Amino acid sequence: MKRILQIILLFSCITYSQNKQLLYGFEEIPQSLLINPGANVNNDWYVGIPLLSHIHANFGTSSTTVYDVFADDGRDFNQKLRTAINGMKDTDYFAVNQQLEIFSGGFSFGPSFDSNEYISFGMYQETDVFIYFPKDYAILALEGNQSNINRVFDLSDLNLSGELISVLHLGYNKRVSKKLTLGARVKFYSSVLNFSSTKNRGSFVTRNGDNNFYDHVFDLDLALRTSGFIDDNGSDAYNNSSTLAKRLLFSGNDGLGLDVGFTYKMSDQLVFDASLQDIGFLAHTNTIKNYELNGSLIFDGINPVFPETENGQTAEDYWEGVADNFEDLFDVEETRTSYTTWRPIKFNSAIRYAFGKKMEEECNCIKEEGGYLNAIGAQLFAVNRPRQPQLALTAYYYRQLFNQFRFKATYTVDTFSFKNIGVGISANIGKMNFYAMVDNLLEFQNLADTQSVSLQLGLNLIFDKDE
Amino acid sequence: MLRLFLRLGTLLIPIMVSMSCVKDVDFEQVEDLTVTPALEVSLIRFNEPANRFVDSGIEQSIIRDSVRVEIFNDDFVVDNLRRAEFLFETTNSINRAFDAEIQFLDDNDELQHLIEFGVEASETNQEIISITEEIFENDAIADLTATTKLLFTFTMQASDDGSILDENSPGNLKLRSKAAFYIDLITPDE
Repeated sequence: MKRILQIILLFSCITYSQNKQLLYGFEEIPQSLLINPGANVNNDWYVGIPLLSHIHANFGTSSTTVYDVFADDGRDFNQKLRTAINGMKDTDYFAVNQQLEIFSGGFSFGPSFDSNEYISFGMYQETDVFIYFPKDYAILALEGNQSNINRVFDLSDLNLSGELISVLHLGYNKRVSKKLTLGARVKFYSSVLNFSSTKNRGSFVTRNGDNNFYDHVFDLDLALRTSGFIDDNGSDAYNNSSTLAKRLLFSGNDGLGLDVGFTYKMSDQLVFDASLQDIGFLAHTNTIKNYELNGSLIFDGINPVFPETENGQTAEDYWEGVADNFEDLFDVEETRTSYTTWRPIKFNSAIRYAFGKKMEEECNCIKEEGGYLNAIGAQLFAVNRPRQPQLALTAYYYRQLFNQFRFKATYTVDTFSFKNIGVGISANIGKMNFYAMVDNLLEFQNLADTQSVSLQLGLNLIFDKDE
Repeated sequence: MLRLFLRLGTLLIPIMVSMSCVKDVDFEQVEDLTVTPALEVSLIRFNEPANRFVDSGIEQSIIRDSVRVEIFNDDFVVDNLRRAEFLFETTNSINRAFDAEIQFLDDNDELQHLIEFGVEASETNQEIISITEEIFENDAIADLTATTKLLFTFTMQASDDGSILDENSPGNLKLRSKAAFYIDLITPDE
């Protein structure tokens, strides 16, 4: 029990925002096309180093940090935990997101003097878990109902979802004119594991009663949907890695998605771009196990039906009725009904201003872009979540150093923090491209007190147009 | 080439690691975790008029009924119950006194625990409230968790003046009861 709790507590504090503010608009890195399929492309072709081309993990929490609860400060642990729980709201969330690119590549085509079209493709695996803090359940478990008479426990506080999927994708990008670049990417999703319980309703309250001390009022409307946790024969599959691995392609719980985006050059120096990612769904039809709990009951105690005589009938029948009511109330119904889940749609948009002309000794007639060494910009990120969208605003500075080294620094304001500073670098050495990005640098002084950290890195082979 | 990247990586990672540190965090504290919810539950209730004790003009001095309760020997309760407090409140407006008896019986109908209390007669048919509390703690918990049946007996005492209840006698005998269960869901290991 404690072990489980420990894991939950740790897990609770490892959470995520899905914002890739450092990678967005970082055009030298081919994976920026995964965020905006309509981004400017300035390579001729590229291939990602398998399994190393894009590794992404992002951790954060909208409220409590590990440090709040586990700090070795001599204060009572239980007091700290209760303070943390009382301080949290049911809109606070924990989440985990992780991506691993399995393979990727891309190439340009079109007229040789102006190859303005680009195809990119690849496959990646993604884990996304999003859990709202089930505050009322936590209070009920910690305190019970004794000190909470008349408090309505809101059962909709249970709101969680998670998925492990693979994504096979193909993107098309076209520079339509000198000003406008458009792009789209189709995605084929295959679900390995999925669970979601996001539409729970109901309440539990203990009120002072008329016939007895208390009326216990139950109103339950709870549901959990899962796919992939069992195999075709109905036995547990979530801990069988070979069964899970087979589902990375065509698991039977498949879906389709679309990314769209554009880049618009308002002038030589001013650029506006935007994208929508993962407009898509997954249809879960196999290995489904759903649980439903429905019912309502008001319980104010057992009323013995006193017999007319000493040896007459007893209240057993009455009690059987009460017991049946409770059994019905807490009877979990299992179903195999298919269901559909929607992917969290992500929106990104940025405006940037480039400045500081590059001084070149030789005239470079081919080069159209990259004429500026600096850029500043502002980005908006949003992702839809079961209760409310999650937003982040970023300001950034971008700088090209030497010929093959690029640097981006970001300052981001979101629900996690007002002091999120991140840095990213991209270095090309020969054909090899290496990039690494990390945010929330200030928090690195004490990782345990961090509300979110994102890390991305990867290796690509890039072949440039102008080489 | 690859070596260059490895070198870059080996350069970057120590920088990041040296920049980052985890300050004075003690995860062992989870060993101190205490989760001890207290639950309040309504139990038995009734509200019987005086004529319940009369049948065809003849007084019935005893009312008795049993209730099966499986909650006490539920595994969860057996494992985690630290203390239970029962509270019985009688409100009597019948001009007769009662002896109340609550037997806690196990599956073989063997007595595990007995609660007895008296209910005062209400000569003016005013409501007289009396409260009886019973606490199960330590070894007594085992008596409670062995219990699967509660047998209630209310025995009406003869009146002082020899009067007899009839169908029109005023007053009610009312019982309200509740239990508080103190659960040691998680406690520090001894």
